[in-house]
Amino acid sequence: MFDIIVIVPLAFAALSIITRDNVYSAISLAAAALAVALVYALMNIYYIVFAIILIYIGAVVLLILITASMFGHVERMPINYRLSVLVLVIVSLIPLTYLAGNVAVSPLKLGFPEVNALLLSRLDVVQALIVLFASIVASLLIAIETSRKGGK
Amino acid sequence: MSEILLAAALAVMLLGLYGMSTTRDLVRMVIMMEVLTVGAFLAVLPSATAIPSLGITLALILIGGVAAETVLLVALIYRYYRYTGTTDTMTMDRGKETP
Repeated sequence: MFDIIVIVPLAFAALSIITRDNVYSAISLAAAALAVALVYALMNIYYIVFAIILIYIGAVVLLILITASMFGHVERMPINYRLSVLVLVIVSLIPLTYLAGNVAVSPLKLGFPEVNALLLSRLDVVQALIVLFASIVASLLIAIETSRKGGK
Repeated sequence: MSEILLAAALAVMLLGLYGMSTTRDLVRMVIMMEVLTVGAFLAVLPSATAIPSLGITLALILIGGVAAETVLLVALIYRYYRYTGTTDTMTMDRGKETP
């Protein structure tokens, strides 16, 4: 089971290189990141799963997708891309059903008290969160300034 | 298990490096850099299973660094596109090695 799910991000990464269009390449990248989040979920590390899905896919990959849509050209999706995505999604569903079974057995593990206990007992996580938000805010401000500066 | 994970991480990172080195498009270069990052996420997983707090810290730092880097690169690509009207690196006439 674990060997199969490890192959999925590898396959989506290869798909993002094989695809000629940047938009489809970015979509494959999002799928690869989602597969990595699935691997983390299989190992019961749900905090990183939320971080990958919310921050990485929800912000970073979305930004790349919009950039690819703005500066790239959209081609017709080739049939082999559709087929390969279909096969990969089916392969991904197998461990997802396994994961769904695991979560249903112990739903209380996802509760907030565990998150609070982790934040209180592990100060390094709080420091990492501070670094994370500070770097994101600073880079956003610099990026806005860079794109507004001068220009034609 | 961690050997399989590290092998897969290395393979994904090599794929990203290959894609980055074989393209001339700036947007595609950023996408390939993100593929490399996905490999780095996989490489963090063995340490996250051994010491969860270390894994969470590494993953958060990785996400923060990548988010900051990507936003800056996209802003620079936007600036370059406004000046040249293209995202092809072959149109750059400065910062290259001269033959």
